[in-house]
Amino acid sequence: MAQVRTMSIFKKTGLLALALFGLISLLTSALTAYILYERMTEEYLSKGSAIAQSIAGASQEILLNRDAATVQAMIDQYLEIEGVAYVFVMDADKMVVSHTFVPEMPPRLHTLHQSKFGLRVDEVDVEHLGRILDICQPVLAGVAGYVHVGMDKELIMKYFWASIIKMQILLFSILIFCVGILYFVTNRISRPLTQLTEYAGKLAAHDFSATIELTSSDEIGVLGRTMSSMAQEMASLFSYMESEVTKATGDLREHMVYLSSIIDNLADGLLVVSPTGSITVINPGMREFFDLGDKEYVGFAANDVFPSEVSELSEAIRMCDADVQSAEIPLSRGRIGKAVGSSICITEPNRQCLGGVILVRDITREKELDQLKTDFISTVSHELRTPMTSVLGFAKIIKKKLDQTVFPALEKNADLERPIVQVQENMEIIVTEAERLTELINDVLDIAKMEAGEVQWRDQVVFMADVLRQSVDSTRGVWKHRGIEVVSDVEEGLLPIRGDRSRLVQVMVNLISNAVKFTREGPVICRAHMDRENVLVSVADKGIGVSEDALHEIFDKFKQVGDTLTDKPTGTGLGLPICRQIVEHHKGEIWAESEPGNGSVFFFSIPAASIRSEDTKTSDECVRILPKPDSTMLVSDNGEADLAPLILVVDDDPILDRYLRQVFEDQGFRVEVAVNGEEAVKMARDRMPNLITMDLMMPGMDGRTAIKCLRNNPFTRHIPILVLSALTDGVVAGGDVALTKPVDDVRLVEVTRALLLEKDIRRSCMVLGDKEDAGLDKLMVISPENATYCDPEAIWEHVEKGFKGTIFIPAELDDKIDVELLTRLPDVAVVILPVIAGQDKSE
Amino acid sequence: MRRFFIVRQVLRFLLRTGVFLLLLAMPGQVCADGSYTLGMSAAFTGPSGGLGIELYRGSIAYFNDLNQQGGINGKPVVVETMDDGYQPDPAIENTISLMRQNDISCLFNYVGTPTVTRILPLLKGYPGNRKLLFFPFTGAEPQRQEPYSKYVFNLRASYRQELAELVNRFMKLGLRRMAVFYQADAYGRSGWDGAKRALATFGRDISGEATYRRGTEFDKSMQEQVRIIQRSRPDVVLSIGSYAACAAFVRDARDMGLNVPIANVSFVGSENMLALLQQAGADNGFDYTKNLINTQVVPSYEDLSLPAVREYRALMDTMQPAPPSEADPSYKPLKYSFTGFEGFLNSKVMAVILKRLDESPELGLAGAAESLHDIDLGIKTNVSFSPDNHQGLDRVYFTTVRDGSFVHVVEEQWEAWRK
Repeated sequence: MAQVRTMSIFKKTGLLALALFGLISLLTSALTAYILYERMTEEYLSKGSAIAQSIAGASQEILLNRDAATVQAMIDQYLEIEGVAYVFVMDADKMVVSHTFVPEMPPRLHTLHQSKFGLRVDEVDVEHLGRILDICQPVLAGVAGYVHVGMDKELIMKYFWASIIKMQILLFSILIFCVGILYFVTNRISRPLTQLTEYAGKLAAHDFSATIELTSSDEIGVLGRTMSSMAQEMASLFSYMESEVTKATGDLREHMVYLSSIIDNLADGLLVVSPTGSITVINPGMREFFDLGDKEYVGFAANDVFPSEVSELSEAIRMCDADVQSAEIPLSRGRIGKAVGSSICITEPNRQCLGGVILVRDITREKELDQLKTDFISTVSHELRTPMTSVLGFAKIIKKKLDQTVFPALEKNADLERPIVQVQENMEIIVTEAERLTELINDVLDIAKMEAGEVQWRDQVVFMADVLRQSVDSTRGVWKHRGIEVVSDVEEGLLPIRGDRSRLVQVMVNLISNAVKFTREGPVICRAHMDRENVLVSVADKGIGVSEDALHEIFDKFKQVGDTLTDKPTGTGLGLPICRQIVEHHKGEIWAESEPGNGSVFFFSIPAASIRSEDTKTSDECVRILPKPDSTMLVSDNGEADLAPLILVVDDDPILDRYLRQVFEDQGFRVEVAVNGEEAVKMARDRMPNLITMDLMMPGMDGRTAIKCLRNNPFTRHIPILVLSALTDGVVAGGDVALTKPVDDVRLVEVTRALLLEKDIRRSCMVLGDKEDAGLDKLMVISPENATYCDPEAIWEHVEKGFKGTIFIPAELDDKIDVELLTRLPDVAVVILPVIAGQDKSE
Repeated sequence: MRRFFIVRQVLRFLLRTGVFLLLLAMPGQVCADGSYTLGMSAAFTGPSGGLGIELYRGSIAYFNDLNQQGGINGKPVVVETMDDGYQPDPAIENTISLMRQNDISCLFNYVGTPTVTRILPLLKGYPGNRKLLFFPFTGAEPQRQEPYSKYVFNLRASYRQELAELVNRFMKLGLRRMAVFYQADAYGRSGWDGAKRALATFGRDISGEATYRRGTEFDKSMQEQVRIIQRSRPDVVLSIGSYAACAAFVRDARDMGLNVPIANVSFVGSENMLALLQQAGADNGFDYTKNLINTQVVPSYEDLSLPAVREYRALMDTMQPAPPSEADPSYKPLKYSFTGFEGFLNSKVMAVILKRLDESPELGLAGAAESLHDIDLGIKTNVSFSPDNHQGLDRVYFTTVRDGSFVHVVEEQWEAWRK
């Protein structure tokens, strides 16, 4: 036990008592001594007076006889009385007749005065004797003489001091005695207190085995016993709590082991960072992903251990101020991982951020599979398409040949009439099925491309009214044929949306075709109106409807409601999934509502776009550079048609310019060079190149703005643009194809040729329908080599891409497209080809 | 001591409340069948012890001889001794004790003024016990004056007489400035008073005085007293004290150059004083015995012309009486002494009185004593008592030291001291 350094309460009390006792004893003895002094002085006075009176009374006669010896004998005996310093007797002449002095009477005493009438007291200082109380008594009123008795005051003082000393000794003895008793008593009290203190100290130190022996029955004993029982209570409580804690700790440890085993055995990598960015948990999976080995990383800054992608993610989440974040990150050994980071935030009891947790999954394999799938679909589609083109093409040619040449020649033979009809029917089936198969292949390819993200979206401001009108027009051939009316109802002041117009048309065509397909009697109603911030489009029919269960499935791939019908399937089953892909790309929704038997309604909604001022600004800038198109451009274009394709190289780097010029000239192309966007736009307008290679980062007008200008202007809209940039998001900039620098010249040339080939499609003469189909072999009058053939549906795409020139529409196709709309386009001339007799496409 | 204290208190009370009123009459029947016992309380110890011893020895020498010759008509005389050490209180106690004993005839040979003056009231009247005091060895006045003179019979001359003789003699020699060295008690006061009175007759006063405390031993210093005396430039010093103190005074006076004659009175015990001075002189190589004048109340024991001297010396030689049993064993008895001679004379007178009493008991002791008339003691001076006169002798003798002993002063010596 630590010694109690401060003075104990008993010691303090003892000291206080001692001091008080000392004070009291001092005062008491002083008072007593003073009283004694006073009393003794009075006593001495009365004693001296008595002696003086006694001598005076007895010596009257003797003095009168002048017997000095007798007087002497008398006064001698009084000298023996305590306190008497001297006695002397004077006669009436004041001559000393007797005295008791040795060796002589002090001269001072000769000067004392006498009083004839009674006692006289003087206090005198006498040599050798000290302070003396002289009492003078006249004998016979001074006639016989005077008696002087000297009382020794020094003796009084001696008694005074002696009594003080004795008293002090007595008091001191009493004090010693009392202190002894007090010491004994306080010891008896304080020892148990000390024991109690030590005991309490032991209890405080959790030593419950300590015991305390207090047998007394007083308050301290009771206290001791209470503490003892308290200690027992505490001991049992402690042991109970300890066992509980041990149990809980065991459970916790087990749980921790369980959790840590789970974490350790996660196939995914797990990383937990603290709010300060240091690593708190890292599991073996994570180590493996980054080849971190067995080194201990807890406490390290995440920035120092992991690549920047992980660091950025952890920075973003560790402060709990961001939502769930995900990113693709490079793992070691060329693997790719998908990391998902979220903050660890507790709200109870207080909102507190504990950092962030990042889960990393190795998606290398999935990526590869995805690629494989895409490649597979592309390959298969391509491999299927090629033969299908041949099959369909040859089938049509055969059918045409048969219809035009063989069957008229055989009509004369009656025996053959029946086989001819059969062949015609069979040929019809072959062509229809081949067309259906081609459509299916195209759809599959389309959806595969969409899912693989390989579709190039051309975002622009789109008015849904246009889309509806175009879609209805496009499908006119179908519904007219089936005798069903399609009604379009567009709300006034409908906001435009931002999106790919042709794809949206594709969605509407799909929905209308579907509606028409499953409806026996019209009308099919197409509506477009604002629904809050969205543009809501619906297509309602009065068809057979879709069952509740099927409503959710119809947007899945190859889920055709028609499967359940007795009708033979008439679609690919991919139309609605494609629609969904397109709508979702536009951040919209698509769904269907239906009452089986009463028809169904298909909805899709796309967020309305706000027209950005930047576009306007850009347009203004572009208008400054590119004024309104004029007809001279067509002339110019046509004038140079025979020359080698002109390529405009736009780059601010002269070395690269020279390199590209060389590459392209080697391929036989003509090359012009522009060093910035503005110059590029001007040159594009003036020279109308067949292709532009565009750098994005340039002084003055940059490539991005230049592309916008070019795309916004009808003259230059069609020019394919190959983006050559150090940036990786070249495609987004609005170009057709993007290549990342450094440029591989072989690939560059391939892409260039491909783009130039596409350009051919957009040449000034366009014929709708197949070359054979259109039957133009008889109409070669119109630039037969340069004529482009295109699907009726695709005409809008070409127009969208900036096609200018003449469109030839076979008469049998004019119901499939909106000819009126085409004629309204400013730079497009429409020529309807007359129907060739004997050909009925619909059959 | 405690007991003495109480007794003293009682006595003091008695004295205060009128001892004098107690019984005066009824003279004590001092005779007893078979012997006469005399009660003697004296100093046998202490600084004056030699006085009592020598007084006793002188007395007993005579009584022994008397008793051997048949005593007083066949009745021996016995002296019962009690020691009071020259202190008043023991003397009183002793006296009371002696007076209570019926077989004590009278009190005899008391020594010292302070003792005797204190017991006088007892003599005056103690109920049923009244005893006379014979021949106290003191020259003080109280017992020679009323009211006590009738209870006391004195043989020797008084101090007053001694000092008167001295003063007269010195005045004749032209030694006029006289200082007094005296014991601070009744004895000293008696001498002082005597000197004062004698000088007064010449119209002079004591030129200086110094006292000492009774009981002072020889080895104590008296220098302070010598200085006080010297201050008065005396021609002569009158010394009234005991032999030890007086010898010490003489020693210190001589040592301090005070060489004037120093006169001592009879009480001093000349032989004892001489012995001390001779001893001191031998130790210091100085003769302290010069210029000393001691008055005596008996003739010199060297004066063999006197029959009493011869008788005394013969008895002392033959008897060689032992000191009393109370005496200090170390005391060496003197061969002869003035004191012893006085004791011898006291006994001789006492024997005459007792014989008278024995023969005429009707006289009573006082009457027997008062009937003495012109009794020849063999000292060339007769002794007479009467109811008016209780003083036996008046003669004073001057002695000085010559050849180591006190002898009568011759005329040439006086002239040598003349101034």
